Amino acid sequence: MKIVKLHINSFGCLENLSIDFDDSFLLVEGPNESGKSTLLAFIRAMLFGMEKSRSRALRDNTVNRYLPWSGNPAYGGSLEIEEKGQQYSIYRNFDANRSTCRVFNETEHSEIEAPEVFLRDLLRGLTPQLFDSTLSVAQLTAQPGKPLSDELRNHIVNLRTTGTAGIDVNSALNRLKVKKRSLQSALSRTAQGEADDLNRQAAALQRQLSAARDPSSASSPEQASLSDLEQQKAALEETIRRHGEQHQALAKLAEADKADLQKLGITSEEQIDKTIEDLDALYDEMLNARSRTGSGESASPNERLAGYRPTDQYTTGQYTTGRNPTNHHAVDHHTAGHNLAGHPTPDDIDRYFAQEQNDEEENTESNAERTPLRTVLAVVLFCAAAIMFIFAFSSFRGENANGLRAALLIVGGVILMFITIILVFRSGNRSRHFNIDMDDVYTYGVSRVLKEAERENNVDYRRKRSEKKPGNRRNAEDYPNDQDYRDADDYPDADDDQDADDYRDADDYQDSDDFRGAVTFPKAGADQLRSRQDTVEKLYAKYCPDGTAISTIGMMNEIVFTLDDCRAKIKNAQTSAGRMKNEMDELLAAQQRLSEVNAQLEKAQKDAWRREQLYEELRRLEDRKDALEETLARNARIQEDITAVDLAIKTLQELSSNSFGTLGFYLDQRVSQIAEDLTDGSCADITVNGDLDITIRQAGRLIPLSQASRGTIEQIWLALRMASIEFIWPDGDMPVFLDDTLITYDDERMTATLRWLLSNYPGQIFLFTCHRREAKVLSGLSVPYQWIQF
Amino acid sequence: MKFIHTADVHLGAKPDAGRPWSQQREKALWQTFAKITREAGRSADLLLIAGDLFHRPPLRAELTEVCGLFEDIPNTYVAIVAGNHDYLGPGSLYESWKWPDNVAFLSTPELSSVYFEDIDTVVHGFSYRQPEITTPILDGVSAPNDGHKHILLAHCGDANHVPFRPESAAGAGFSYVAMGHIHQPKHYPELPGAMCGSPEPLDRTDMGQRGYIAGELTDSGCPIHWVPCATAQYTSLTLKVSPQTTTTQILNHVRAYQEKHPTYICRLRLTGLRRQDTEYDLDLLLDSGRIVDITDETAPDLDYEQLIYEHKNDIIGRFIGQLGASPEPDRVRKKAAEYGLRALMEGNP
Repeated sequence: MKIVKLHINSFGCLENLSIDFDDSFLLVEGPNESGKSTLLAFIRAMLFGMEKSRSRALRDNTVNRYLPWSGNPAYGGSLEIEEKGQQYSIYRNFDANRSTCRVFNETEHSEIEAPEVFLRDLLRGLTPQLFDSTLSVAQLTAQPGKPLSDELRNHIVNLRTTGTAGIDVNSALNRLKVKKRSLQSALSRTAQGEADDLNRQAAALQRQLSAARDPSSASSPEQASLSDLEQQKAALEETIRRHGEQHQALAKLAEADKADLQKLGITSEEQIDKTIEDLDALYDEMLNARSRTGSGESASPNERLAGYRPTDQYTTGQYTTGRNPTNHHAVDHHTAGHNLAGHPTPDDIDRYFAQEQNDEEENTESNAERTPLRTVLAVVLFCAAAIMFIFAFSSFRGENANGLRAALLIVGGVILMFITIILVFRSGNRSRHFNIDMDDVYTYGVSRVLKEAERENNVDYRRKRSEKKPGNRRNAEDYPNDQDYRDADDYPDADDDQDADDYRDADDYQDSDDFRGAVTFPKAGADQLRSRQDTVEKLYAKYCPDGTAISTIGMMNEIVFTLDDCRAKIKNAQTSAGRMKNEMDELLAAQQRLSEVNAQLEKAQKDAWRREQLYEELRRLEDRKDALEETLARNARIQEDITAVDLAIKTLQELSSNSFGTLGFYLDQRVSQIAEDLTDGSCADITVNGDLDITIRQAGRLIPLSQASRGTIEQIWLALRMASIEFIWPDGDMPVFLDDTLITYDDERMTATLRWLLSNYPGQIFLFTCHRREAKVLSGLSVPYQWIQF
Repeated sequence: MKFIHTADVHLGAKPDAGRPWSQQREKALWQTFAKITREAGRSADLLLIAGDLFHRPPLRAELTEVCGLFEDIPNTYVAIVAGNHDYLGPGSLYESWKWPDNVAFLSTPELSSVYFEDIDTVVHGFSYRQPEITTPILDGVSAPNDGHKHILLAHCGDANHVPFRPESAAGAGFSYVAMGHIHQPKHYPELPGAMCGSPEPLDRTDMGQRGYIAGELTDSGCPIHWVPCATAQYTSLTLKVSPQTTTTQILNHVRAYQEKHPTYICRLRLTGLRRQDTEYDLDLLLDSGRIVDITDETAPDLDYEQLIYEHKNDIIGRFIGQLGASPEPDRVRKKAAEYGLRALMEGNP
């Protein structure tokens, strides 16, 4: 590239200035502040424009620095250059408000579109920075700075390694860095952190789960499993329910017993004993009255009282159930609540609750006990009456009607029907009185009648118990583990056995002498006897208000039975209290245990719930980890791309560095060669490293450049610049600008430098100086040069 | 005695989590298992579940759901063991769960057995109590010679999950060895036994069809057959591109393929040469349908040999040569070459 001419409209102190440049050495001479540096600045501004800065203040300073002093609004000018046989004119206006740039191809007489882009291409990668560090060498600034050394290196590498100036390693590196940033921005930076966090949380949860007590594998009672505790709870609740029911049943029985005793006006056993003694006295008096009549055969008291003496049995505690022949209701109470042990049994409780039903069944059975003979007779009479009525009607309606015969038949039928009704009603009344009547007593004696009645009812009762036994057994099976049930189970057998013995006794009695030797009362003693009977009947009315006994002895027996029943109730009331207390104690103990089990159960449930919560939380964490996997996989793919880009960057940088290293040898050679020429052989061995640090080897010692003299330093830096220019633009067609560069040189060095430049650099050389010695030296060297004076 | 053998159902898993069809796949696991239980109730005396019925230790709701399915087949026995995914952790609800009467859960870590009298069959099995069992606990195991039919139910198959050599169990006296853990079905006629595979594919690695095994124990042997039942199938779709191929063209091709195979979930693989300055929009392709992943093996349309020849003395030649000496994996070097060359040659075709 060659600068052909320029025209300054207005630029700093320069105004309306035109200069044509030739190919030779260009010496621009003038005193300080004459505008030499402004001229160089104008050329630079025309090539690159006013340097743009991100700082508005700095930009303004750059623009304002060369504002026309005259105030001429035409801030700018033109520069004509020649490149590869084509001439181009660059027109610029640097006014901040009307900044323009136009480029014309003067050879082809056309204006270039996109002039800035065109200029970049035209300058073959020459940047303002590169211009400053290579082509433009200002006074005392020959040493390129570190940023410029990078620029220089990149440029050297680009040109030397790509083989074409079109391939720009630096730009390629920049593109790769942009690509890397793009990939990095696509990375989900939180995903990995989140995954790590989830892993930590999951591990912590696992530890908590492991630390949580495991009830399923526990062996100690306090660590019973949830299911065990639930079973315990159910069993305790059943126990509580059972004890509660038993307690309630006992309470009801006790209440019923108490009501019965109150109803009869019995408050103590002494009262009972007193009443029984009274009865015994009455009986003795009755016997005495009979004796006083003097009729009949005398019998021993035991024989005569065989039907009444059971009071001994009661008092000796050998009383067994099923003895009361007339009051089934009382028997039921007896058996239900007052066995020998004094404990209610499940059997009893069951019967207690089934009481009303039993009563109904017994009533039904009573109806069934009507005498079959009377029933048959009643049926026969009824049929006969019916036949008579039929014949009577046929006598009225036939051809041989006979009114008298019909009337007789009707009368006969009515009589028969009347007899039938009497039979039916009589049969019902007798059944309710258990077939005992006073005539029998007077005819056959008290003992026999009573024994027969008792035996008949015992037989009936035994049958009833055997009928009810399966039902009892079924109820008992509902309490397989209950101690009371075992008692109850034993109880019916003992009862039956005892009953059986009693039955045998009763059967045997039929064959005994007592039966054959029955007593008969003569009519003469009846009145006295009747008065005693009245007393007995009053007692009977008091203690057995619902009784159905007819005979005096029967009444006495019933009274004794009732009183004994009351005695048992009094005793059982005492034992029931203890039993109820036991039931209540067991119930409370079970409730206490239940509350403990409930507490354990609650804790176990809470633990189980907490474990479930932990598992659910763990599940949520795992799910989130799964969901992150896709993101992490994408991250991995992107990371692989980033690694590839990094590898590309690293490889290019290594190539760049290696290339510079390779070229470093040549730089060393060329700088040493130039420096040797410039210093007249005093600095012939120079080493340049990658950062453009220069070391001089003198007398076998390495001396840093900074330790050399100022002039030597400037010369060696100039040598480095020229070597770089040769490497970058090996065609040597770029102009070089030396702005007061040689001002510190002595004449000898200056001469050596000018000589070297003139003989070694083929391109334009602009030397700006404020001295006249350069012109003299040039003249002395006899070389052509263009002298431009300011 | 007819049986159905399944395993690795992984109820509760969320296949392809984060993808639009994931929820559908999650439901499909339950639906397919329900289908298997119904089929077992209809045609089998025994349903064998060789571990990993659940994807993780199950929650109450999941156990309740499964219990409901088993209660619906009261005439079919069910034998279950826990696998490495649904292992019995501390206080596991799975272990203490009350199963219906027809279900036997072999929860012990060592081999235990249950005898089903109706079908004269003893099922032996064990359950995991941790995610891994590296001890070969099945080595040397044998069935007692007591006249009953014996089935071994085992979740095993790799080094970390009960190492098991099928040949070691050959002749051990089992009428059938029902195995789980490996999701790919495999028949071991020498046992006799089989790895039934998962009834539904669970992730992109479970390629091909999935199903369960139906068999029958007879006096003469144990014939089995594999029954496909999965509602979806992972499949590989390879497209070879050319420098003229665009992202839209690939998209259209994939859509046409999926319309033809609606149950397929594709793993897309791109091969061939693309334009040097082209990058396919993989994110757009991933979002275009049931594509679970994409492997881009395309290369820029560059003749590397020619490039090296032409640029043997400049940075391009040196760049390619130096990358060849890099210790990075091939894939990374290849990508680095693509990125580097594209950066170097941008604007300089």
